Amino acid sequence: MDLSRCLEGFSERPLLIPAKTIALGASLCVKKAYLSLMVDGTPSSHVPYSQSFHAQRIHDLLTYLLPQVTYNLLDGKQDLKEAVEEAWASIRDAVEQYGNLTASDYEKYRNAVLGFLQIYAALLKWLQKYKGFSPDNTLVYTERMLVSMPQKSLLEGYTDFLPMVGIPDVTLVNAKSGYVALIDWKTSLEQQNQLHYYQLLAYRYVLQKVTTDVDVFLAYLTPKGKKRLVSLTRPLGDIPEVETEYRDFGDMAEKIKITASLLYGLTFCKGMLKVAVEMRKQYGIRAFNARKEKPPCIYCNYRDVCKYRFAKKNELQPEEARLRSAFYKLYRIVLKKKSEEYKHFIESEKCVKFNRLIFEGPTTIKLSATLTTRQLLSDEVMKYSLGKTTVYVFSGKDRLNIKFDDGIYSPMLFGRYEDDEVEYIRDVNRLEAKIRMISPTFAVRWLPVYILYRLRPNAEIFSNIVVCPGRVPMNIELKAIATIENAIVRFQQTNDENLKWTIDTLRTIVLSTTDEYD
Amino acid sequence: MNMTNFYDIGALLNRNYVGLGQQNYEILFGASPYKELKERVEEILAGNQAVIVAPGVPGAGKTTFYAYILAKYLRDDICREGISFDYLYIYIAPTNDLVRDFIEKFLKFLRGIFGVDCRPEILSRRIRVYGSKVSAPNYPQLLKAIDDEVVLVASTDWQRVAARILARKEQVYLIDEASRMTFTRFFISIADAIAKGNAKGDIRGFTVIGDENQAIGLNEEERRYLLLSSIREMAEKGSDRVYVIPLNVSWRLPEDTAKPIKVGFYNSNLIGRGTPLKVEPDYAIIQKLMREKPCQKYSKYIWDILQVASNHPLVHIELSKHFQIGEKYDEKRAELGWCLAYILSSLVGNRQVSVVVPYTQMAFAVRILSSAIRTSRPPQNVRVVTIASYLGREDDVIISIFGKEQASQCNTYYLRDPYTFNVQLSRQRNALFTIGSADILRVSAEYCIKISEKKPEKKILIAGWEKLTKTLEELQKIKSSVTIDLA
Repeated sequence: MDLSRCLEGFSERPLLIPAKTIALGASLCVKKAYLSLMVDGTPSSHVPYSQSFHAQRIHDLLTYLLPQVTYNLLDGKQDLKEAVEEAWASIRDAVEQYGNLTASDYEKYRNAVLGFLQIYAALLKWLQKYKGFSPDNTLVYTERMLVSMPQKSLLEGYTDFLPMVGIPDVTLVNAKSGYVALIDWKTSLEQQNQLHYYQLLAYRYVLQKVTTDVDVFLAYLTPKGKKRLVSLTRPLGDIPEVETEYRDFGDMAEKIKITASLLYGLTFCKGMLKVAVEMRKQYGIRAFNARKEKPPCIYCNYRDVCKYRFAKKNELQPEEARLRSAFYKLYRIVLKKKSEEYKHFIESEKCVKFNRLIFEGPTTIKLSATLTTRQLLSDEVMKYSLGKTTVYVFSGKDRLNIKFDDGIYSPMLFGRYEDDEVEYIRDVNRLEAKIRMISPTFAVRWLPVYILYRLRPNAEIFSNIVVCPGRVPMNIELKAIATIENAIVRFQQTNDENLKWTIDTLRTIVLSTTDEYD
Repeated sequence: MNMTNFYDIGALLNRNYVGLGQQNYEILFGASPYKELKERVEEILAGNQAVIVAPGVPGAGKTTFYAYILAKYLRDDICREGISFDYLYIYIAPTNDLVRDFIEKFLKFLRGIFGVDCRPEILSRRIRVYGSKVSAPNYPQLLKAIDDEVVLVASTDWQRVAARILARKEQVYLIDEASRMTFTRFFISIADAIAKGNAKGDIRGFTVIGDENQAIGLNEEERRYLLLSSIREMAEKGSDRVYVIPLNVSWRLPEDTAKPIKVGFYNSNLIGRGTPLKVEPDYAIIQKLMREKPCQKYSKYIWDILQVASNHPLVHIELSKHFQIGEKYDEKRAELGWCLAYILSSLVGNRQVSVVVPYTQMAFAVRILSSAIRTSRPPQNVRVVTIASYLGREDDVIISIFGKEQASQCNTYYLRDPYTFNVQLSRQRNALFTIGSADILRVSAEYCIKISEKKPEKKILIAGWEKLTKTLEELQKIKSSVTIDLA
């Protein structure tokens, strides 16, 4: 099958690919990116106990602290340390109760956080000077979702194919001019630079469909305390206390899009690896062969699973081949289900409007809508029946506002909406609804907006609200299957009795059920 | 009507629990089939790896059993000071209501029956409760991450727990209402353990309780991969340390009200032990309530229905017309259902009345009607729910309003997923009122069976339609029926 025919199936079986995975494919190896997408051993919310949580915790702390620190700095506060302490004191309770961090995490990572914030403070000064950021016009969004869902045109098909979901660490918006600065925190300086650049430039490519003036920056802090600010879109000149660098990569959009297309193709269509290999010269796409036991594969953590997954049938033991075929069936089912979810990712035809959004507490917002009719079962009222569902919250006053027709979405929030919490207030002829944070896993997306609301309750973005039912794109079930498959392959010869029982039980479940329905 | 906001779990810690004597539960759970289940679960609790599956009829006392066995198992340790636990018991249920119920029952056993007496502060350090509607303003500890002092977690889903386990602990999962869980979902927690670098021992075992006949919201393909069915199959093939223990006594459903599903979905293998209720009409109250606008036009029917209800715990209200075409709510059914709930709520004392409907819009319509009520205090003992959200839940009096009965290419609510009808007809502790056209729905199901007979891919669906047809035949046979023409 050729690639363009494969992409034609997108409207029937859509899939969004994380920006980081696309960047991995563009910068290193498309097979590794595919495995990261499909066979990743680490479901997203699962952090090994053995790891120090280092990078993730620092990211999370920065996410919570940044809104208040930004306003403190813009208001002229000179002492960064004091600004950070103040921000932590004001959010600590909410974070400890509803988030995933404790006060001891803050104590432990305070120095690293301060290091990053020094880079940020320097950049913020630059943005004040050259891009007109002020306390009145600045909106700070941390961990704000950005989605690009390819839209098919009637005559030309998919002309701009980039199925992507990403979460830039910081999106700083000048609400007056529409200028956007994207910033990502990076804890490693030496490795994976190319990957970071592709990731940021993919965000920029998508955001430029909403607002044209977008700059992207990478803030690097090494374990030794070295601070570097890399700009990928314009030279910054000298900035005190921070080493700056400008890297001009030109237009990477084509490679980003072709990588995303190949990853989509590898997931759903046959013969796509061959297509990827053929694209090596034209686009610089790389797909290494792990069976050759050469670099970079010998350093790759996906090496074993890559050999198994991309092996020809006669290269596998019969039991392995049977297992792979059984797991393929499971993947197909889960992918089909996932595709259904992506199809309803944002159901724009079911969106409802509210006049105002108010945070009732760290995890709950209240929305109100004034009605024009008093007829209770009228269409105007009944459309607020969205069921018990995930909803995305947009603001009509938001500079990063949705472009539904182009498939570009950047919701301010997502949460849980339940019909039984919609109340009709007879005296004022008004409907009131609630949206709640879904789970602590999403505290890093929700609490920063709550903090922003506390700091700027009258900001325009909290009025003119549009709420759309949809689905949260998570691949946890898919990744769980992949993890189990990896575990069975990895531990099939184990001598540990408990582990052997677990692995045998899992293998029996998979093989017996999938065999029955051949 | 009753609006659910947050459940204050902390308040449950402070409550004074007075329950049945320990002996009653020892007798109940000491007899077959609970005896076998208890022994097997205790083996897992003691750290021996195993998987247990207990397919149970609706109202088999599944949540109560979990609460009982955990309270019994933890009674010696849960209040000990200065202890840190390297094991964790995780109760997973699909809804906030079930999680709250479980904690309430657990505390009732722990404090009221096993006499464990310690300060709520200590319990709040041992227990975690996660769910979108869970709150604990006085004991915020209950919501925090899982540290060494925690031994019991109750949560609405896996992810909430997985994201919050910060220290390595051996984990035992007790999964309630797992009817619709596919084994791919079940893999998530095991994958979590493996991803965290410990494939060897984090998960000690699973007990999975549910009912395949209540597995709703699944497509044909997913239905093939139900966890309950997979494990049952493994046990039948003689897999090591995999056990199946069926539970066929319903402590919830009164026998008379269970008859249609007993014949239709359970092949008569269901014993109803619930307490039936015959409504005592108070004519003065009824007359007063009938003045509400939506009730006025149904007054004649309401009188007839209540007459029958005074002698029977199951009343079927047969409508001569099917559900409104093209809509997800039917105004007349919403009004009739709301009015019946409103009046029954005043006749059944402290009992709770639930209106159970198929579509979210239908539930919304009934709720909105109640918000506009003119009396100063709308009834607090009525709630309106959808079938999907009511899985595993129960109430004293249930009013079940049917959805679309017409065939429409066999793609309407019940025909797409026949097991939803079983869920809708199995929630009542005391009395059940069904509103809809059993006749049209039965004919539709028979039609779908007929046109799909030669399609092997419809095998599972045909089995569901056959069960639905049998249930409707039984419902049509009952004498306690009232026919209404809403046209």
